[in-house]
Amino acid sequence: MTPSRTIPAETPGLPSLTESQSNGVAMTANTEALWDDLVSTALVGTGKRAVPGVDPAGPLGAAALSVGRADPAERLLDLAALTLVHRRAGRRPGTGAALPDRCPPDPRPTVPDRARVRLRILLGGGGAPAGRTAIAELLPEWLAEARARGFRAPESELPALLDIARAHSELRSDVAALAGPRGRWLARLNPDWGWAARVAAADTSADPDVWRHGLFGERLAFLTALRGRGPDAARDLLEQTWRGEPAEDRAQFLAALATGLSHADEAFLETALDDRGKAVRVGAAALLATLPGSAFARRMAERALACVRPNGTDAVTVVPPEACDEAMRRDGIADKSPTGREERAWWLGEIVAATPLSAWTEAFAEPPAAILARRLPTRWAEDVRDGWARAAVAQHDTAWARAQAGRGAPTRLLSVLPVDERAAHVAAHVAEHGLSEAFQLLAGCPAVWPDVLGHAVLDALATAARESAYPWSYSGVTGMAGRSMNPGLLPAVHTLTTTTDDAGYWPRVFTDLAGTLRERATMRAEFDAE
Amino acid sequence: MLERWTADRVLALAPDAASQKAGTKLAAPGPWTGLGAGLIPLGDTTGDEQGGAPGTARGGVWGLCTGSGATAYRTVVDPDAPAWSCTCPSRKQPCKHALGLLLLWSAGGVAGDAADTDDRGAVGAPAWVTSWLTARYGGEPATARPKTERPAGGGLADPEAARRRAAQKAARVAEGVDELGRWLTDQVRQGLAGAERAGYAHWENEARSMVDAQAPRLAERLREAGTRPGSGEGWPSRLLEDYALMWLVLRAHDRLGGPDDAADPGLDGERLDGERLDGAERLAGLEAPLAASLRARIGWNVDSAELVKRAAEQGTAVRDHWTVLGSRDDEDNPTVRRQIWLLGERTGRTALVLAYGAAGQAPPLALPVGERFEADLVFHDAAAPLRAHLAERHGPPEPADVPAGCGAEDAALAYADALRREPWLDTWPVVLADVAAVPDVLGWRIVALGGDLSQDAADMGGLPNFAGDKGFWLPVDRSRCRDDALWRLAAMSGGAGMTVFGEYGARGFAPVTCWHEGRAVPL
Repeated sequence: MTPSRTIPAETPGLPSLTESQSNGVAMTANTEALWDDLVSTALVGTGKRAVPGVDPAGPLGAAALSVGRADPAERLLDLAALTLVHRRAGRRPGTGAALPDRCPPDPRPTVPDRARVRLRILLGGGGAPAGRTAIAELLPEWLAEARARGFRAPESELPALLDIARAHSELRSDVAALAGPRGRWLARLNPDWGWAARVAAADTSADPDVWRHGLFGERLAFLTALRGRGPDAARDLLEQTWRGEPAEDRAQFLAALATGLSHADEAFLETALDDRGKAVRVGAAALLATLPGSAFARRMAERALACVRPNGTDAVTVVPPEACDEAMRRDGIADKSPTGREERAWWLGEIVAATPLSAWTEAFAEPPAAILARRLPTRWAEDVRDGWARAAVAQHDTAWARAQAGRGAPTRLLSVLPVDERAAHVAAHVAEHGLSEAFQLLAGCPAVWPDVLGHAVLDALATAARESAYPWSYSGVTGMAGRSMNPGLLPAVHTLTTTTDDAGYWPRVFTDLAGTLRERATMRAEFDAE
Repeated sequence: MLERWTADRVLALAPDAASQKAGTKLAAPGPWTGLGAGLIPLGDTTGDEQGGAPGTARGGVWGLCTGSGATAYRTVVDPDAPAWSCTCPSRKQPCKHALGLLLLWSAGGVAGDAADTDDRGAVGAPAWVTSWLTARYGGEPATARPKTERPAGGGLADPEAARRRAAQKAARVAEGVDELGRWLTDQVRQGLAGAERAGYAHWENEARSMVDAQAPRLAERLREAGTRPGSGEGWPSRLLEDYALMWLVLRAHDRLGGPDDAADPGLDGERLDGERLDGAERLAGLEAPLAASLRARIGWNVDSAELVKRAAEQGTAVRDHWTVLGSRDDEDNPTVRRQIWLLGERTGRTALVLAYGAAGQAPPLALPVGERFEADLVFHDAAAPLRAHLAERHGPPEPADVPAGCGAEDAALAYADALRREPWLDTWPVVLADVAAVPDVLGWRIVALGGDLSQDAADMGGLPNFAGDKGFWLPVDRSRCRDDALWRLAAMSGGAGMTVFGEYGARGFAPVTCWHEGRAVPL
């Protein structure tokens, strides 16, 4: 079965090895032993130890006989050279290796050639892996675009992608989705990529076997998908294995119940408030807070309205709790603020944030805007407002978010608003106040800006250029504009490059911006090419 | 007709990753004006018909790139050579403008190819493009061939002086070899145990004397030996291997004849009688091919012009369709050494072509991995011929099939056979078929799947030739293979068999290229 083997018989420059066509295995063992002897002797030195003799009947015997050197050092080197070549030539492949597991197929198409080449360059080309600390500015868009178009990642670039997303967790969702089953197959082999096994698998399987034997990410995806089809069945399934899951996994499975959450889940979530894992308890409290009719919501509303009450028609009375009792702790309110906020203020904020927003509109009998317009005692105002903002985000309450969004409000409130409304809101802010405070707001906008926002930013930049403002104080915004603006606005940017007559840096700023938009347009077109 | 390149092929020209990125940024129409591509009739600027013969046309791609400066850069590329020229001050070769222009052209973004249908070529080529191309091809006939290697210096010099220089070199090497022999016996006599405490200078000093003795390859080996004591468990064995290998070279050198047998292989005629010589007689001298291998191993350079001239006289150039198996760059500060392996379709011969690039410059030769082209190769004299000089190309590269590979046992046999001919060889190039890279607690393995046909192979109508190889494995030579390459190999295989090209040798297999979905991927 194996090809017959020819032992190198003539070793030019050395006496020939004519007698060496003996049994392969025995020969190897013999030669290995001789080599080890030679190494030991060389280590000590031929000045102190005799050069080993060679078995004349062995494979190297005849050749060794013709080594007639008087000097022991020369004799040792002669024998070592003989043995070295013999060993090298006689080395055979190992046998009996376990065959690797086969990765399940991925039916999605791979990206066109040009897009693949682009990705390789975005990942630093064939350069050293050390170059992966910073990510190329266009990489996130490449990933999002490829994912949206239903491609799979080119396998040749998977190691680099998995490495980069390990360091940059904001890329993990896209990378894991693009990598698909091949990414999870690799994650089983390389512990560095273990994160990929924990991201909910985008190519979820409907096979219930996944729940019993899959990776965490596959199980999470299975549970979430099942939850969408039959919330009760999914919860029942989770309850069966609940006690055996690690705390970290329990917390994430619990969070998956946000899909299709209803009063049917209340009993399960109530028991989770007594869980051993803190993250599980906090998660259960957060979910319960979004169930307006729950016992938890009633308890929290009772606490909240004991602290915060209407005072006349235009003010609010605030009396924070005096202590954090056992019942409050069970409902997820920590004794101490992790940031060192004063205790009573901390408890107050936590209660307001965990109270269903509907409790306020009922108790005040007013719409959110009217409640928010009331005066708050200065000492507690910040805690109450921050609690309302957090509640609006956690409960995805657009009415409350809209009422609070505005100058000085937390940027994350915008995340609750629909994409177009968010962009319009920020565009209005930019039009009114310019770009000096806009960075955080812009960063909270969707990856590709709607044109209303793009035009607002361009107008603001044009104004800044006319007023000869320092361009470098806008570098954060112009960088983000390059990454986020619709490449379709290129003509507008071009107009700016020609109409900006400032001899300083501004023309350069617009030229660079145009360059980035052009590159992104090319990058997108590459996904269409074949 | 000007054949458009693939983007991969353009990027292979880039001197580094930063240039690739910068070039990609310029691969958009925005910054360019006056773009064009096509065949350009070479102008008779001098009225002399010697070079720019009537009807001669050369391919060119050109454009003006507006950067931050006031004047646009003039960029022109001759894709056949390939060669380029740009008025930018960049010291990188090729510059980002040339790369960007080629990328744009490869993406179909440079109009003018249509003009090829017109016999008169690209009519709109500006004068500066035509004159550059004319200067490249329109001078003396000798310069008509693109310069991929340095022209022979003083090829027609006094033959007596050349002989004298060769004799001087041989004498210096002989002295160096004697010194190294004494040094090696000293090491072994006193014991290698001391090497662990010896500083790097211990080897560096000896390496410098080998450089002085014009034996640079022995110097390389000494420097490598100097890294062994710090290489972890089992270092004495590795150090003795280096010493034994050098000793083997020195002993062979003892049997080397005078410099004459290098100049004229015919002098070795006494051994051409076809009779088998016994061991005792063989000691008298080395056969010419082995003597040439030995010289290369010590550090003699081969004059490629001389080589080409001789091949032309004797008709020994090998014309074939050569598939580019792999290309690998090794940084040897400050220069870059590029190794390109080729496989002949008709002859089945494997060849290794080398090119060197100065700091910040890509080596002058770049060939598209996985494609094939017709060319004359001239092999260097050697007992196991491998190193070759690319003498003349006949036509542009074109797509090639996935090369046929062998099993793990055959790879080991191929190396053993090469050792039989040249005992000091460290590696031998092999194409493995149907293997996968598998990470293991004991290190990476290249495992033969034994007929567990991959989809690729099935699509290509491959047959499970290696069924007997199932579970055979080769260790991976980690000293010549980055982690990253192995993971890429594993990612592309997904546990299925692939065709992989690499070098197999004393320390295992080092992958260079693999074929994934029919496409060659440099690792």
